[in-house]
Amino acid sequence: MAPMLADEFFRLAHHDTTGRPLLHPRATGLGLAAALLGELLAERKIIIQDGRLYPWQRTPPSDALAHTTLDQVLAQPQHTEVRVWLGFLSASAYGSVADRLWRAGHVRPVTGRRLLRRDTVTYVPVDLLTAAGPWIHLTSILRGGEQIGWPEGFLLCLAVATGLDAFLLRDLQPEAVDHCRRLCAAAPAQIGELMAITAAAVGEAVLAYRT
Amino acid sequence: MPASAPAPPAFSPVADTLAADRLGVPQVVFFVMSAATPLTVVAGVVTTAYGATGLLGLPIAFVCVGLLLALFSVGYVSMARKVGNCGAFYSYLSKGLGRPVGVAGAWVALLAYNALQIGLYGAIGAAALPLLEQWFGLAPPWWVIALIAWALTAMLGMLRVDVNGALLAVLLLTEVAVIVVFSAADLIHPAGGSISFTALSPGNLFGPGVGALLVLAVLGSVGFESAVVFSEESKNPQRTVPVATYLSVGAIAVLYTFASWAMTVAVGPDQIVAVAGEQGTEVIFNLAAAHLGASAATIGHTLFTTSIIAAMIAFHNTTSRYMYALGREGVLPRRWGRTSTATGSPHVASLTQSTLGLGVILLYALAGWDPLVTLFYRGGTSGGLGVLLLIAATSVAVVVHFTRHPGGESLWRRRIAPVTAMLTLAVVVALALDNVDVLLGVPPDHALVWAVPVAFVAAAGLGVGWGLTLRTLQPGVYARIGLGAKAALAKAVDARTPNPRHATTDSEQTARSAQTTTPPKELWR
Repeated sequence: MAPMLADEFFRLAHHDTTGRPLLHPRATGLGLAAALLGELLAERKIIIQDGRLYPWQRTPPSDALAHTTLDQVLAQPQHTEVRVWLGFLSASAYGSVADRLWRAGHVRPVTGRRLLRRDTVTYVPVDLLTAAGPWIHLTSILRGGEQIGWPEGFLLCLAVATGLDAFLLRDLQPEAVDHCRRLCAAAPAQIGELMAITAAAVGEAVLAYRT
Repeated sequence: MPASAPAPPAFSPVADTLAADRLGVPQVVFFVMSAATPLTVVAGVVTTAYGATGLLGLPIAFVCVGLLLALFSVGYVSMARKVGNCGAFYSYLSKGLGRPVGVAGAWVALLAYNALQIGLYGAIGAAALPLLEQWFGLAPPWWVIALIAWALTAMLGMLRVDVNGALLAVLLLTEVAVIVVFSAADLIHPAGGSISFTALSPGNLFGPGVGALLVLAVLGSVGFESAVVFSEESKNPQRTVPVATYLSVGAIAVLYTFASWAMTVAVGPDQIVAVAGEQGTEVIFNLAAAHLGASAATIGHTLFTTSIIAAMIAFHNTTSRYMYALGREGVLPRRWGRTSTATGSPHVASLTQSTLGLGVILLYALAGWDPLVTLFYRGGTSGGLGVLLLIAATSVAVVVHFTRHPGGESLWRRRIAPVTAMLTLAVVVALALDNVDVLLGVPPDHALVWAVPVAFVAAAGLGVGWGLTLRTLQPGVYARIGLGAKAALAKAVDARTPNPRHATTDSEQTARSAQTTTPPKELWR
């Protein structure tokens, strides 16, 4: 079973009891899009090189959403730029990942109605421990100065690229923060490249912000 | 989009989804024009400029500067596609003239945009006071109003509250409508009974103080440079951004020429300087009250106030984005490159700019200096001079860039237009530096006459110094100057293929490459 990186990033990017988003919507969307590509990367369905992604194995992934993502990649070989795919996937990633969590029984949607605001759907975690899982796992790795595996490492790098590290590293000792930086610097080439593109896209979203 | 260029498919969900969020020419023009806030320029800058410079040539200066900026934009928008952080002049400078010059440009830009932003706090009092008196019978000192506007700007900058795009569009359109109606009314009621074209005579430009007029016209056009920010988000970068830039420059020039000329017609070309000196920003509202009734003046006052607030927010955002981009690159401390996680606003940069603004407001309040002339007018014109210097330097960068990389551009775009613009801008800069006293409205022996240019030269010099320091101490950062948010990408490339020239000399680089080569096996399972 492949790691559900997008689920894990979703949990990391939301408050573990209230389900309130910690990041602004565009950063969350881009982070989830990168995580969806990460799921394909983990199963070696695609490879990333020089800012472009290419299909590698065409056999369907085990998860339905990953399957859909791969189908989209295979159906549109004219688009290879990772930046383009991040932009495309980020448009729908939030809904589809939340939907996947809901189907698996991890979150329940709660519609909030506020005066003069559009209705907002918050996905409230069903189980606190599962929701806090990625956060606990990553901080314990950072505290202990431990080695990191592929899925956790991907998640950690993605947290840094999207700006979630502000929460993740908030209560940690300087050594742990240092460990985080070293882990990210040592990321495998494909992860490093995806993270750089994601970080640039998140930054661009700030610069080209439309008022 | 380069990726989709080779094989045009019948239908592509990717292209379709991305296109849905893309901007066309009208949207980009709206973004540019609402940041240019026309009523602030017409009611604020034009009137105080007549009073402070004592010159009549402003309408014709708007025409000349409009043409010049359009010419400059030819090369500017062509080069935009090759620049990482294309909304910022310093990116062009680092690409064309080297990274130390880029840092110098960034420093000058920070100074200039801060002067423009903070200067507006001096005008808000004059704009809002008539309304407060009329509605509530209140007459608070200017700095109370300025502090309220400051708090609003600081809060919006921190929270990044979505100021509704539709609201901005409505405000912009009503501002333009008010300018057009007021100016038309001016033309219907000319002083002395007949419409005078004196202010439109090119002869007004060829007198002493021409440099000052040109800077004022540049000041009015600030904002035109921001259309290129949306290159990557536009429907067709080859067409949308150039067309939007030319349209904005044209619209700004036509509107301001018309409005500033109409003012002279109504007051009388021989009277405008004296009247503007006496009434300040009230000139166009007093005219409107006489021609169209008191309620027209109230509408004008209200929009003038909202226009200044919109300008404050726009310049605040421009300044904090500059700081943010520099922080992302590592040229400024990295804290400035952080965003608030919840709102996505560049909150550290925003807070810095706000603190600076607060300091200046308090300084002027305590010292008792005149807010309209010393803060708004001198702050604005100094900022305008800085922006003019940046535009001129950028024009050189464009010429150098296309000399080195002529590929794919027509002779007009890569050579004729940029060179003509560069030479003309050089003349304008020379004239401007010669007329700083007229520009600022001070006697020729006033300290500001040399202090303002020296401040920009000092900022540029320190910038070059900092750029060279980075080259020796932090080549990783140096390599990323001018890339803005794309700096993150350069880091990845940089780590994989270290620059051999720097790898041998620099300790940080070798330390990092040692880090990336040896420990991965230990750090990652």
